Formats: sequence, structure tokens, C-alpha cells
Amino acid sequence: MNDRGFWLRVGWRNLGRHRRRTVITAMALAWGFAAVVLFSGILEGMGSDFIRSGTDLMAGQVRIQHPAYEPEREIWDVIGGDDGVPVAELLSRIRADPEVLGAAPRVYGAGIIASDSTSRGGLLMGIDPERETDVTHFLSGVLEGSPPEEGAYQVLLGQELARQLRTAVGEEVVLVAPSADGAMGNELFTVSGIVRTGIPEVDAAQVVLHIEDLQFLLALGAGDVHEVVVALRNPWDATEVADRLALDLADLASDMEVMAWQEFRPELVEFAGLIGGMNWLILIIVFLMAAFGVANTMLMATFERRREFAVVKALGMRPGRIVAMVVGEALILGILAVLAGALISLPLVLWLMHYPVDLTPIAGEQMFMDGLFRFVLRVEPSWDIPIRSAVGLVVTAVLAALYPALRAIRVPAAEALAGR
Amino acid sequence: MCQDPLHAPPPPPFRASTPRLAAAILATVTVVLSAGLFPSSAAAQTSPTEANAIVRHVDDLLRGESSHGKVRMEVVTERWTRTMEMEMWSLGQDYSLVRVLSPSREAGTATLKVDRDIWNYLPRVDRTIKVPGSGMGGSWMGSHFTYDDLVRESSMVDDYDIEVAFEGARDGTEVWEFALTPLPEAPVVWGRLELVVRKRDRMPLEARYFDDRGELARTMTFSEFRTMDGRLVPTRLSMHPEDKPGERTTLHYEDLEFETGLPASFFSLQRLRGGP
Repeated sequence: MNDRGFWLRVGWRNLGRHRRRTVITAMALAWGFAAVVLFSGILEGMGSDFIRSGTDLMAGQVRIQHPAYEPEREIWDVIGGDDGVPVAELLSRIRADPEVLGAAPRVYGAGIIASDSTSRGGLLMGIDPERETDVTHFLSGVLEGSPPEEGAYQVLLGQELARQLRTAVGEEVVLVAPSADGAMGNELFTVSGIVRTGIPEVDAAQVVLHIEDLQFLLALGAGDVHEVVVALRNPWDATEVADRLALDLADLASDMEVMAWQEFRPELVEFAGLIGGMNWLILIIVFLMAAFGVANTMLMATFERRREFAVVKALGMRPGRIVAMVVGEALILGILAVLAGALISLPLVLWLMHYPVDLTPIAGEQMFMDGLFRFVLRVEPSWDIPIRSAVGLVVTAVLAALYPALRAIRVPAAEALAGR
Repeated sequence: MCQDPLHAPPPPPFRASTPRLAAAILATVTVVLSAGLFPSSAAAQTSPTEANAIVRHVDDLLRGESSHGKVRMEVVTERWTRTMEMEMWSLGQDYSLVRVLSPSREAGTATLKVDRDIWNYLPRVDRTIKVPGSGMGGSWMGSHFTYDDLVRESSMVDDYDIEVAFEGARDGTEVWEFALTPLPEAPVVWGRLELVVRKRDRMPLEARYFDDRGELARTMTFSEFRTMDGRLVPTRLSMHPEDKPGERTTLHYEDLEFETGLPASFFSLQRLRGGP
């Protein structure tokens, strides 16, 4: 009676008395476990894809600006303020960070763009096309032509903007923009290409130039950049990397702020929070169902054994041991269910992890939070979800057994033995 | 000076419009001066009719009929100061043409306004560009005025309810201070105007523009009153945006003639490009 595994052994034997019932209950729990692991994994996968698509298209996962640049976006609030910044060194230092995939400098302006027939307001963005593709994907949306080349006075126009201007690749446009010295910068450019990002506001206004051409138009120097965007291996490390870069780069310029996407795209953070909330909701719903299933089974089991409980009580077994016996039975049931659930879900999870199911043919591509989102069923590799679910299930099973266990110790021994 | 005026997300209130300024800059200063009609009697309280008449006088002064002249525009910002010499022609509120004479780098740059449309001529690229609707919030020639300021047309008398808020001496000068509240359906963007007019000769001294929340957005000051082509006008107009302390755009009229008899056909795209 004193061996410590006693209650587990009894529990195990008791489960064996009604094998069919045990298997059915365990399977119900196992499927619940598998469903939670699979759906939570898919949700996490979607969440990650949303974050990626929301930052990869144009924004980057970390960005560096003059602290006062947003929201007024004054032309002279360049990184490093009036002194500017050694751009090449800044970029190579950023890229030296092992978590960084790429870094690209940008200059912004606003002005008027005019074709032969009409004119529109334009958002001017000067980029280094080669570096830009290390960080963002919007240049893969070039429909015709090519990104602007260095020193060629070329512009890449948003699709809707080009349509409204009634212009085409190879034609001339004029850009007029207030420059840093107060004059009206104006210059002739050739349309080098048309781009579609999928973000309506961008496609209707974006004018992409080579960074050096825009610096010239705006009377800025080569060390004057408004922004450096950075892409990371893992978006979830952004805050950490931003803090590290802020320290690493501090000696290059004083007026510099390094921000992670969590800061400049707070709506994406809210979305990530929403995904987390949905995961908990699924967990709670499934485990509530599991709890009632276990409670029902254990209640039946204890009811059948009224006479046994009466006997052991009459023999002097302490109530704690009776409770341990019943709870042990539920614990083993829960562990069996988790093992079975793992067997069920493992192949599905592995499959969706390595061979995501692309639902784009059915659902189409959606613009969501400034990112082009593709509906792909993909499980985010994570130990967090299965472990959380397994612990949750076992704890649920144990808690659900408490009530039947309390009933067991309250069995009136004399009456039960008398068969009444 | 905001570099991104075309798309600056929430446009600061002062940029939204200045009803009278369009006229003030482009229509230059024309006077329907009738000093004799309004004796500056400081004796009695000013009646509402009189108040209306005084404001109308100031309004006409800044709006004018037809005019031609030279103006020096000085723009002072936190970052830079620049001065431009310009020649300007106007006809009523609807037509005006401004051409830059100096600095030489920008000489020939010109702006034409016909009704609510504005074109710029850029000699460097030899192109005429119509300012698009989305560009109307942009700065005109680097100044604190926007294209919207140039095209907005409203009347202090017709669009506002006028009250005499103060009458008496301010810094030793006898003045009226008028409080102008927009009429319910008036097409104005200001929440309220305050206009200070000198009693002696009915010259405006200051106009204060308040936004919808009742906060001061910009102040116009008028000074250097001189007689030009037989009319007394303020020849120095200075605009101080409230959200950029220390910054200003000042217009100095150096030469003005009125009732030039120019036809509307003068204000053409051909003329904008410097043609006959």
C-alpha cells in the first residue's frame, strides 16, 4: 500500500475494466487535442504571414529615421540632421548584424507630376533599386519596363497614377517639388516602368526615382537620406535587433531613431494579439468540451464502483487516497489521449509545415494591412502550441475528475455495502 | 515650411485657406478709395451699417479691380530666407498672372490663375503644368501661401457676420476691431476672423485668422501705407503662420498701377510662357 505508484496502477487497471469506454473517451479527447494543435498552428502560420506581408512589401521590419521625421516629414529632417550620415558605412554596419537580411536607403518628397496631357500630386520615393530588393518586395510588382536606373532621370510610376496621367513607358514627365533650399525643383524624367503594389493609395500616387536623382531634385546631398529600411530573418526579433542597432550605430549620427515594426505598424501588433486571443478561445472551447466528456466518464465509473468505494472506506482507506485513485485514472486517460492526439496530428502538422496548401486559387490574393496576403494553409513550426495544448488537456482531465472523486469519498459505506 | 505640403497627412489649419489672401497677393492692392464718403468720426458708436461699410472698404482695398505692379516677396523660414522679385497682373478676382524676375535661376517662372485653376510655367524644362487638385495644398513659390490660398474666393462682407468688438485707442492709435463670424452656409474654412482697422484713414493694420477650434492659425499684418497711382494702400503685407513661430512671408509692393484696362484674354497660357 505504500508504493508511490499505487494510485496510478489502480487507475490504469480501472481504465482497463471498460476498455471500449476508455478508448472512446480518449479518442474524443485526442481529436480535441489534434484539432487545437492543428488550428492553432494554422492560425499562427497565418499571423506570421500577415506580419511578413505587412512589412515585406514596403515598410521593412526595422526602420531608421530622424526622430522628428514623422509625422510632418519635413524635407530636411534627414538621418543625422544637418550633418547627414555616412550612408555607405551606415548600411554596411547594419548588414553586419547576423539577424539582418538587407538594408536600403530612401529619400522622400512630395510634388506634382505632369505628363503631356495632365498632372497629379505625387509621392516621390528615391530608392537604390539593388538594395531595395534585399528588403522589400514591391519592385517585384513591376508590370512593364524596369526600376529607375542610376543617373538616367527615370521614374517608375504606380499603375493607377500612370493611367491617370495617360502616360506610358518611354514617355516624358515633369516633376515639380519644393526643394530643401526653398526653390521649386523641376526636372524632366522618362518613365522607365509601371508598378502595381496592390495598395491603392500607393498605386495612385507613387513615383519611384533613383535615390541620387531625387536628392538632386530636392537639393539634398549624398549623405542626406530620410530613411533606411531593414529586413530581418525573423520578424519577431525586430524589437531586439532595433535596440541592438541603435547602440551599434549611435556613434555614426546623433539624430537617429531605430524602430521595430511593432512601433511603426501598431495595427499589425493588434492583429498579432487578435490571433493570440483566437488561439486561447479555441483552446478554451475544445477543452471545455473535453472537461465535460471526462467528467461524464469518471462520474459513470465512480457510480459503478459505489460498492468498491464503500469496501475500501470500510477497510479504512483515507479519503485522500480515494481521490488520488480517481484522479489518477483521469490523469492516465488524459496522457493516453495526448499520445493518441499527437499520433493523429503529427502527420497533418508535419505535412502542412513542409507542404503548405495554397488556397489562393479559391480565396484569391487579398490586400490586408498594406500587404498582399495569400491564403496559404501552413503550420508555423512551434513547440509552444502542442506543449500548451497537452498540458491544458491533462490539467483539464484532472480537474474534471475532481467532482466525481468527491462523490466517491462521500459514498455512505454502510448503505452501499447493504446494496441499498 | 513643410516639405510635403501636397500630401502632408493632416494639413495644418493655417494652410487650409485664407479667404482674402488670394486677392491680397495676386490681385495686388486696388483701392476703391472713397475717404470722403466715410468721414472718420470717432464720436459716436459705430453702427452695424457703418461697420459693414468699413469692412467692405478694406475688403475691396485688398481685392481690387484690375492692377499691374511689382512686388518683392521675402520668405523667412527656420532654415532659409529667400527673396524674389515678381511682376504681377490682375483682373478682378478671377484672373491673375505672376512672373518671377529674380533670382535669375528662377526668372521666367510664372503662375497663372483663371477662376479656380492654376498653371505654372517652368522655363528650365520649358513646360506648363496645371496644378492638380491634390497639389492645391502645396506651397506657392516656397512661400507660406498655398495654391488654395490663391484661388479661394469669398467676401468678408457677404460671407461673415460683422460686429464691432472694440472701438478706441490701441497703442495710441484709434482703431476699430471687428469680429467676423462666418454665416452658416458660407464657403469659408475659418472659424472666425478678427480685423483691426485704423480709424484715421481706414487702413487695415492686422487680420487674425482662427481655425474651427477657435485657435489662432495665422496673422496678417499691414504696414507702410503709401499712395500708389493715386490710392492709399498698405505696401507691406506680412503673413505669420502660428504653427511656425518666427517664420513669415512678406510682400512688398514696389510699384502699382490700377484700372489698367487689360482684357481677360491677356491671361492666357501663351502669356504665361512669356509670349505676347
